[in-house]
Amino acid sequence: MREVISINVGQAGCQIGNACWELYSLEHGIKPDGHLEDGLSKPKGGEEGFSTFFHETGHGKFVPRAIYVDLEPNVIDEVRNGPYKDLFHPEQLISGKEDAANNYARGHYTVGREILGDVLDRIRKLADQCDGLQGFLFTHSLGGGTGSGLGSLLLEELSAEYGKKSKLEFAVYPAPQVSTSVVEPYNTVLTTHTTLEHADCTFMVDNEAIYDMCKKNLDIPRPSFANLNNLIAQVVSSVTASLRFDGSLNVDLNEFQTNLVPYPRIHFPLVSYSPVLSKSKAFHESNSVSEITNACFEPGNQMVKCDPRDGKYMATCLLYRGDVVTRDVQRAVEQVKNKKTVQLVDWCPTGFKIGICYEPPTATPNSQLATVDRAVCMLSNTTSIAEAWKRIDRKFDLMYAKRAFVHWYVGEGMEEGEFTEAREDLAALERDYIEVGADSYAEEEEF
Amino acid sequence: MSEMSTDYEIGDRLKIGGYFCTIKFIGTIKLWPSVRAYGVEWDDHSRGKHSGTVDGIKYFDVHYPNSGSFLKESKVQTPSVGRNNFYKALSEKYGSSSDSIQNLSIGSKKVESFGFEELNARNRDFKRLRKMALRDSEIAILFQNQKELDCIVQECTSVKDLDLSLNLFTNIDYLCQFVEPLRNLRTLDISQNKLLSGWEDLKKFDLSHITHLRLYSCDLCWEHVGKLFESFSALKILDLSYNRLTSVGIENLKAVTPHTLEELNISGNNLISFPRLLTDLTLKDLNISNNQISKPLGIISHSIESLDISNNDLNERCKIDDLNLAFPSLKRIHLKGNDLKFNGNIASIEDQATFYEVLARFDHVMVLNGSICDIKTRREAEMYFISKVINNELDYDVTLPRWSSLSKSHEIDTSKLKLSENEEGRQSLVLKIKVKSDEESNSGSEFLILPGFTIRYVKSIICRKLKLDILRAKLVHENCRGILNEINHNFCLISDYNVVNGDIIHVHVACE
Repeated sequence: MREVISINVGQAGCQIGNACWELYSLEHGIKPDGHLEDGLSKPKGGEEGFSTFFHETGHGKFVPRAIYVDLEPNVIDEVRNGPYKDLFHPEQLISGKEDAANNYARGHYTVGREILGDVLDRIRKLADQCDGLQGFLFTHSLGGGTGSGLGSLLLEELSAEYGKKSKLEFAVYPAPQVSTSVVEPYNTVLTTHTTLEHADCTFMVDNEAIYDMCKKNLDIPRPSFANLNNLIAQVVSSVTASLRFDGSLNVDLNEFQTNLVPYPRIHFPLVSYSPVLSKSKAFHESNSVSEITNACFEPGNQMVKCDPRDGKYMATCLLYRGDVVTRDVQRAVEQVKNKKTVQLVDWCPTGFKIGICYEPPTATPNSQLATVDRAVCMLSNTTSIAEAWKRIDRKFDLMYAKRAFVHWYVGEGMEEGEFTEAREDLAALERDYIEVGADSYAEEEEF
Repeated sequence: MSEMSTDYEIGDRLKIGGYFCTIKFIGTIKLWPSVRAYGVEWDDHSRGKHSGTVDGIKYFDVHYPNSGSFLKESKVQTPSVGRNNFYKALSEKYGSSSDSIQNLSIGSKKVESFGFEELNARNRDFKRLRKMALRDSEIAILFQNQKELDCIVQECTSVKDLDLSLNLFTNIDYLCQFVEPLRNLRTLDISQNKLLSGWEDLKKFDLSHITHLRLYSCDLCWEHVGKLFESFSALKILDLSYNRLTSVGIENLKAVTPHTLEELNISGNNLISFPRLLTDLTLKDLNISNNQISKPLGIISHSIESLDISNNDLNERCKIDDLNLAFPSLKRIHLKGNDLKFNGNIASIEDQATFYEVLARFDHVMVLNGSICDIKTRREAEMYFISKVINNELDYDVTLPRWSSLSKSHEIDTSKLKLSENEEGRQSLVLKIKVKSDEESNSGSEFLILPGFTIRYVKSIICRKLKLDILRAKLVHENCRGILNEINHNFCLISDYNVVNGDIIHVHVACE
């Protein structure tokens, strides 16, 4: 009844999509060919929750409600020939012939527009299969050409066509460690500007933060993209767990927004996940509820590099998974309460929500993550995430001051004015964050 | 716990102020003539004060020096020194009904919670509870009598996963009695318990329903493991990390080791070689990290796909090739923490060149030290490796089957490459030498070696091929004019002896 359609755009989006669907399948007991694992009569984790992400065809086969879009065929061909090729219907995998060359303008205006109609048709077909579509879940990168350009284009179109439906995003924030192009700041700023009013809630995943987690917590000396994506998938799975499993907090996408988004533009919650432990370290940790809860408040477990101690929390959701008991949760929250570093804004009536999902997390065979009994995912809307925008804006300014690389965008028919417009919008966003973080009584005193 | 006072026996375990200890002595000591004293050995050795000997009188023995101390009775008999039983611990953790997080607030803001009433209801229903995690619950007594055991079995019918790690019980016999009737149990975790007694007769138990067993840090040796195998006969996953396993004593296990075993973790023990037992098993996943293994020799396992051999004593690069020969199906490997002598120790395995080199030396590895590689990376690594070997920048035994499969898959005719360089009059990159041994002086076999090989390495290649004892073999070089020259410096390069293409090397085997 509460179906969610996942849309994976661009190389990063598709690869994260792969990792996510592999994990979802494992969690629900579905084999790579779309049939149930031997010995199961129905999917794991409750029928209703399950149907939000999978569609059942007549022959007992389950198909993800997902679409893969990329402007070049390589990545999608990997899905077509990979181990999960039978899970998807061929119509769900859409690839073009000419890539976006890391250029937002190509993804958004020239090349991307050519396959837009095709993609929207397929999305319409998927939407027709739903009884009560509640929204869309986008996965894309902010730095790549297809992810930023076509991703924002699709969001715009969907917001025109399905105005009332929620649109959530998982956006990969660029990082110098695993960078593929110099124009990533341009693409990021441009796509953020375009999607700011269309996306309802954006979960950012900073490649640098994920990279550091792989190195430090998972003991991988040279993390590859596959390693990063595996970890991202685990986080995405935790965020969507409340939609897929019968739990109680955030049973639908609207609730996500209501809980986390106090103003439409302030819709970038910070995601933290714990425990991120390698198999070899797992023996030495007891992973008690209070340990994993405390870890969520440490910058090392955040998906975006920023320091929440500098900012204030507007809303916080703690989603526990697996074997926990109420008393332990209570004790853990009391410990959090005593932390001086956790500051809440004064204008928001409730600062904290706690939910539970009874299914423990699963680990894929190749990932270095240890199999654990319990985990917690924290979604918090904190003003400190503005740091991420500051960082990217600075990089944008450095290049744009000299108008470097701008000709590539203008050459695709984009107007130079869009750069300044986008940059001003982000400057306004930074100011918005400062404003919501300010104490309201301070203004009164001045008056 | 007043009702349980003064019932301690020697061998009981206590948890005092967060520290675990074992009672080794009960009685009076000279220092405290009027009170009953408990002599204990602490698990955390630094907590101890002496070795059981005070004022020249020896009261008890300890395993580690200075890990013992005496406690007055008053310290042991306080309520903070808990001794729980299983049912009570279970009820305390999962059964409490009054718990709620309704009244919590942070500052002036209320904490809202969702789903915890249902969680409480689910947890209270022991009959349907599948996971029971009772780690660190001070359980000393699992059950007091048969009646209580029957009661527990009836209550916990559907428990599938039981975690009893870090508790105080010591008797393995009682534990087996306890889990035998829990027929739905699959996963049992009894890590960090000191199982001191009850090892005499475990054969009588049928614990074939348990497939996962974790025994991390339980002070076990192979003798104990053998006894466990007699009752846990259908294990799939076994964790024996950080115990007292050595390379001795494992041979006797051959008959009892369950052949269902798929995953074995024997990291953090004192092994100096791979247990030969592995050859007979169909293990898929082996973790043998943090041991002292220097040679991957002596076993071949076609089933192992995942190997963690980090933090061992593998100290030469050719050991990687030996690993590839010993585990032909290997897909995932951890090699960190071994001194593999990459470019004179400067480059670590994090370096890209080294990473590629190691990756290419394996036939099928796709996950190296945790990094997941795709096909493209693998092919790139192989090309890099081939070019390095052909340019003689790497020590590599080109007689290995890996080399022929590499050159075949990349369609590189390596013999031709070398010939063309010969014709140009450069120094030959690959030496073809004839080896003649004492016994079969007329036949002699041909070897391909690189001038950069050490004498020791050449010797090992020759001895492996001719099945000779490397310790007794002696090489003598005969050049084209027939002058004999004994090769006696093991660590020199073969080029130091002016060995050129077509030369003959004699192998003498010294008598006993």
